[in-house]
Amino acid sequence: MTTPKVKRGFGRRKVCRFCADKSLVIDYKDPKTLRFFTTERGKIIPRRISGNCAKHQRALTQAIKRARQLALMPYTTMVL
Amino acid sequence: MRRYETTFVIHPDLSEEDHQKIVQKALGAITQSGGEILQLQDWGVKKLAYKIKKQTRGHYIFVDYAAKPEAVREVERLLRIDDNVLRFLTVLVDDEVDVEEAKMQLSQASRREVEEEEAPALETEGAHEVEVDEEEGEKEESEQ
Repeated sequence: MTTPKVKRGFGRRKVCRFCADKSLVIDYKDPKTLRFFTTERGKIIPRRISGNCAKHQRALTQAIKRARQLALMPYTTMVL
Repeated sequence: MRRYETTFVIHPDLSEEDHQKIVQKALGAITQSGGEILQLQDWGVKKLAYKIKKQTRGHYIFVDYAAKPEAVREVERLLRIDDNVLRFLTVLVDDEVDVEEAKMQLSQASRREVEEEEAPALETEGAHEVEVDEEEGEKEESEQ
């Protein structure tokens, strides 16, 4: 028996938030927006989870890494 | 000339005078080499996401400018030397920049912001009230 890999339940197709909302800009100076795409520990959420398109995910990781350099965002945070 | 953005974090407990000295030094390095400052923003003292040189807070300064690559090297060199600068980051925004046009756009953008703050704040409030009224009306109708 081969188990079908494609599981399509009621899961809705994720849409890239930056494509859907053109007014949303990716900016390393704006950690509030970027925080939405990291876990509580500060890790960048992968594309397969967040549903971003490749182009915006690239820009996003770049922005998050810049924000980290400036200590606007954490590299890691201790979990309590 | 290229357009760059440099953000740097200064020690939070510095006196106003020392603080200005660092900022002026950086700005001076840009203008001396024929660069042009487009924007200077003081973000104030912010909490750092992690400790840098045992500091939990830092004073953020953001400069948007047009300059040659050599100017960036000089600015970064000066910032690196200064022990009171906790962190700096320079980002290349545009390879080619028209200084006059960039200035125009910035002044227009700031003007628009001021207008938006005053006018649509009232408009959206009004719109909300109308929406609520309509919903209530519909509910009443369905109940009947």
